[in-house]
Amino acid sequence: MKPRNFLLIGFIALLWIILTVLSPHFIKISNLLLLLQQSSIVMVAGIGMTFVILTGGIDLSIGSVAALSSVTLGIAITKWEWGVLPALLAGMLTGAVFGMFNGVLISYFKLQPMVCTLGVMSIARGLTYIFTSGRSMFVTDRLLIRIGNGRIGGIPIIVFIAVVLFGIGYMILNYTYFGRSIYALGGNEEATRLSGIDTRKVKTLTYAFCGFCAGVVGILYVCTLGASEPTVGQGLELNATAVTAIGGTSLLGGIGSLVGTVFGAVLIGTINNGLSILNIVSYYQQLLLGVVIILAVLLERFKKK
Amino acid sequence: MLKLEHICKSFPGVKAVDDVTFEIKKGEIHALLGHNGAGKSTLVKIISGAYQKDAGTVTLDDEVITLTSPQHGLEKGIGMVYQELDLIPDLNGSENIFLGQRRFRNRMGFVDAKARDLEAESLIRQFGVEIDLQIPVKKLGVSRQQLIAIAKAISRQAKVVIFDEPTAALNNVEAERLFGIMRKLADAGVSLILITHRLDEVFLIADRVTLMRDGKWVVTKETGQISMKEIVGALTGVTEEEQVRTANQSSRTEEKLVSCKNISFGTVFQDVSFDLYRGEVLGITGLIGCGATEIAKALFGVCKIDRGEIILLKDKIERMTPEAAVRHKVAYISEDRKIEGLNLIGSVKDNITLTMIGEWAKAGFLNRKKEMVKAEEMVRKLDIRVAGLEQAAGTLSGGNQQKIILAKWLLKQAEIFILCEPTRGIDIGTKREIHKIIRKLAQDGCAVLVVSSEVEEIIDTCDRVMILYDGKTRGELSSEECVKKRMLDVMYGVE
Repeated sequence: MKPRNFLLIGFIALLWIILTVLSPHFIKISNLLLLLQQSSIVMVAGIGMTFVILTGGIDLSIGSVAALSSVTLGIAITKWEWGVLPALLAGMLTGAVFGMFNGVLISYFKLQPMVCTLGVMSIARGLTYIFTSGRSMFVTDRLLIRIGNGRIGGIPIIVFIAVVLFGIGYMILNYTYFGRSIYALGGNEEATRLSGIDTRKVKTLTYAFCGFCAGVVGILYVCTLGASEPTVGQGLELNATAVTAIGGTSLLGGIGSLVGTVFGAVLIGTINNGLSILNIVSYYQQLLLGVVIILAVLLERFKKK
Repeated sequence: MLKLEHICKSFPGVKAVDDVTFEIKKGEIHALLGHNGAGKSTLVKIISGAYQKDAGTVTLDDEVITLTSPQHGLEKGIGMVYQELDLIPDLNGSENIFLGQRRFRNRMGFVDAKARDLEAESLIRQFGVEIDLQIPVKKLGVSRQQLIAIAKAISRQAKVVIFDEPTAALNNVEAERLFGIMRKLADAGVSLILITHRLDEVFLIADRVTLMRDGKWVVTKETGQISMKEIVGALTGVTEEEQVRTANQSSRTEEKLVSCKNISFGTVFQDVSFDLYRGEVLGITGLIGCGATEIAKALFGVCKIDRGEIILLKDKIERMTPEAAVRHKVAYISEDRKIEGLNLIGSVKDNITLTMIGEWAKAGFLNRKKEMVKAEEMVRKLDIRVAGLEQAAGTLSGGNQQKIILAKWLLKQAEIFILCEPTRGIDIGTKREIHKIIRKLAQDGCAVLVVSSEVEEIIDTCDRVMILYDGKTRGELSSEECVKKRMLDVMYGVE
């Protein structure tokens, strides 16, 4: 494991010790499982974001795309009365298609990732409001509720989903041609292209994968809330970028790991969970999150020197 | 009238101008010549005020001047016309000519545009050319933009005007018109300094010529008293027919792997044709800007061609792209390792195997064991000095980086190697090793194209050499004819 990750583990451990001293409730198994459950959504979003950031890009649209995916699922079940499985598929596909759309614009039409995904962010959010007229819908499917709140062997199902997605992502990045190409083009796109790798295809697929992750996030929103809300996912892109950066992935691309992103998500989950256990007003969460991001990046700087 | 005495200027690690003394007379056109890196650009930048000299004195009309900026130079009457024309594209001609000058400012601080435009027009009128001074200069052609730059240089009663490669972007008619204007300026008493690579121009227009080599003054003579051959000899320091090529055993076969027929791209290169055979090393060389690098890039699809055809391994390629080139067994080793060659933050292993991971992968999954074995093998074969396969490529020396790039194409089993300036910035020891690798490639049955501006490199590695001048083929020398002096003569257009 990279030294960077030990640093993160150390930081998380320190926080856990402090929180244990401050509150007897923190270190209980039930609370730690809750912490993981709370971290899962940003973890899934962070996995997709890590892929994109490794290419040197960014995807600001994931929050809106997640919202669009969740209302797609909601409408498919309540209005069109589809079965659960096709509806789930439609939700994930919505995410993947929008991600692909980003990818094509960025790699074939050479748009800048930040501007392009900013546009798509607004498009997806607009569509979400148009389809729902801004109203939320109850989704009372048994299976979905169980995914959102159920447990297997005491462990929340959402956590399993995040772990499975992490496993897939880890495998792609470390064991496949696609993953190696992502690192290579993030390091030097021109040299990679001149080595005979179709960098445009690789980039398009990367954004499609990120969109797919956003789609999964959208579904998880429906499962945990029991409803499809057009307003969900606001600020998700920032949190996903934060956990990626805290996890040590360079925003310039080419360097980073998915393991780091997972620890980044746990770190942020710990802060949120700890603050609510200590009954500190949630306004402080924002403040502390910002401090941690800057601290994590500063640490990296000092380590390099 | 402009006297330079003992001018010195150093940059970290290099003495760019070393004790240069000569004089430029009133109303003459004085050519300043030197091979790449001879220090002529540095010297004229000192004269114009863009650089400050370390030592020596500049005397203009009996007044010792110490310039602090180009603006200061203009005030003293020294103007410069840069090769890349220092104009603001969105401002109009009149605004560009008087940029930074305050004389048309009225008491309120506003610009008196009418008076300025009148003055600008009278400056341009003496060139005998109509130029619309009210439109942004970016809408004008290069030659007209240049005239505006000249007007700018002479706008403050110029006594000295420096021209840096003024004909580089001009066609013959435009160049002739420019010479006419230069002569007129000289007749009016302005002294002109002309920097150029092209000796024919020197004999056409210059009254006197000063030669520089390695930062030092070599000679100043009347143009009529020196021959082209003497100039080339003095510029390069090569006087006799020295250093006969190290007799390379040619392994050339009759199998044509590359054939270029009349390829052209704008004025960058025109009607260039050549064949490249299995087992030979062909060199392409010429002065900077001769088009050699662009031809190499065109073969790999990095630069375009607008006419002509390229045939690789008997296939006529309609639209060359890097993908098509790689499919046809072409390897491209760029002159710019850091931009087009390596993933600097990636590991040694990942860089070496980059061209092959796709072929080795099964159903998209990498064959990580094979990668390690093969990378290890290449590191040993090419003697790449690394701490380990996981070391980041960016931390290696230039020579080892170049070997990594060679390794990745060797793994790919490329048959046509295109190398641009293969040893630029590489130490002498590694340079020899890379030259050996190049020879070995040919012996192993590859076709190799070496583009280099270093004459010694061409002599050491190539079986024959094609020399370009101004985008056109100027000559081809076989291995027996590859003598340094002869090559330099052709490069400078003497032969």
